[in-house]
Amino acid sequence: VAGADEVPVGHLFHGRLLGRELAVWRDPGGGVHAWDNRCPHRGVRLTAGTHCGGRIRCRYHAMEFDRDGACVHVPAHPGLPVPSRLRATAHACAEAFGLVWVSLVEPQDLPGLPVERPAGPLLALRPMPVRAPADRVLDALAGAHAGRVLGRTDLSLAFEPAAGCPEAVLFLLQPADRDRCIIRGVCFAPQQDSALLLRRYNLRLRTLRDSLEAGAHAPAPEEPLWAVEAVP
Amino acid sequence: LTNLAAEPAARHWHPVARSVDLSPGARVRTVLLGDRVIAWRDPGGEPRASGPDGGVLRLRDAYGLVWANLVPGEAEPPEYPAYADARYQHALCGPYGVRTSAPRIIENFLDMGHFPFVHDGILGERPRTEVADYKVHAPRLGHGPAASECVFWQPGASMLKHAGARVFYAYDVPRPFCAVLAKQPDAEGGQGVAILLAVQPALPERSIAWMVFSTTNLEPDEKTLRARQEQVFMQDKPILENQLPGRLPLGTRDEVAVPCDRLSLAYRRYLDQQRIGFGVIQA
Repeated sequence: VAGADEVPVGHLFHGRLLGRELAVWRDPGGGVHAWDNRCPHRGVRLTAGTHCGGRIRCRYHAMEFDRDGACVHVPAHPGLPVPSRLRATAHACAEAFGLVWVSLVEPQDLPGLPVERPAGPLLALRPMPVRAPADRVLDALAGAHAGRVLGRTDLSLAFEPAAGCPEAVLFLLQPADRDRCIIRGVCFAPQQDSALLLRRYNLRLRTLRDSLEAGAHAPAPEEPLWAVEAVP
Repeated sequence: LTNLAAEPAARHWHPVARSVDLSPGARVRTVLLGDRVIAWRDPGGEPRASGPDGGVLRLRDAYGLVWANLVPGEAEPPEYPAYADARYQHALCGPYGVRTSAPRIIENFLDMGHFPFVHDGILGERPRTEVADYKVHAPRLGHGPAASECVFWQPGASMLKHAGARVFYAYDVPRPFCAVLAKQPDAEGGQGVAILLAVQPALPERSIAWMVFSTTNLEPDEKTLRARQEQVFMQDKPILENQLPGRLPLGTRDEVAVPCDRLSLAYRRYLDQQRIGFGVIQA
């Protein structure tokens, strides 16, 4: 749901997974957290609030939640015990391959990936949002990349090194919602200067996105709901 | 499209324009409960409106606003006693488009707990964040819940005073999408304030807020009063537009209340008892 570097301490990152909004953040100890992006009290987006080190403070009533999601401070009632039901909904969250991963169901291990993680350095690619469903994007990726396919799952695709692409690469699709996904990826043992490599993949993914989105028309502008006009 | 016959909110009156908007040669095009409405004034000065199928709506001028009623139900718009009180002057505020449901806007208006955080320095001041208990009055026939003996510390709440003061509030919810606030700072200031908030439910998660701000302080002109109220409302707007879901959940599982939410809970129960469907997630 995020690149590891998109979630620095102090920031509340707005993530999206299967139509659900997430507040993704990192505590000062380095741990990553992914919560439903709404305060359990009155539903305000937590990403509109404040990262206070090991706590998140809601923008609306300044209720504070600890890293487990439990509310620990209700300013309207400083002398009363905090209701135990007042908890942010926390999802299983982990960091691997330079990315932040979330599971919305029972906490589980990271998904089976089509490749073993090779030893050596890796480089997370820049994310590329695409207005197209995941299966179409994966098909397009499979057709556009030069290397031999090492493996494929519903949401990932791995390529061997090839001429022009001297590094193995694993593409991962984040299903943001029904018709939108985000292409993420990891290069293994990058041989090139990382800034150049990021730019090269970014250009390719942008071309892929443009072809996938070609023909999709922009939504019509909304009509104003209130207007004074001259009587015709 | 809303099934208006089945929607209790359609039997109530809702503001759709300022009375002054319907001047000769001008008309207002808007949306009420999911339906397009066009309102104008006939040569005799009476407000007129047509609905989606050319049907004619009932309209009334009250408190400087034009109110519309889609399905014959209640006789008149809700009462706002301060408007008839000669000691008050009034400022009409709105239209303020807000991307949320009408009941989220009303519920926020009934909430004191956010004053020190959303209206810091105006309606509240840290560290005085505690909300004392207050009385909640159950709905009576044709009228929603109310609250009295609400008290909150406000900095410079009275324009006559610069120091903070404990301010006494009373809230009233005469209709599902309409609320009235009356506040009286302690006796010596003597300034009274009343606010009528009426929310036009345009779409389930898009609303237009209208307010009549009334005060016994006769110094500022209407423009100054309106600017002050607008400042406060524009602080609420980004909060309202960040509430998920936009529709107000009436069940008790989706959101967790704290003791100062007793009026909010009474409001949600009232909407549930009224079988309101527009802008809510029914229990």
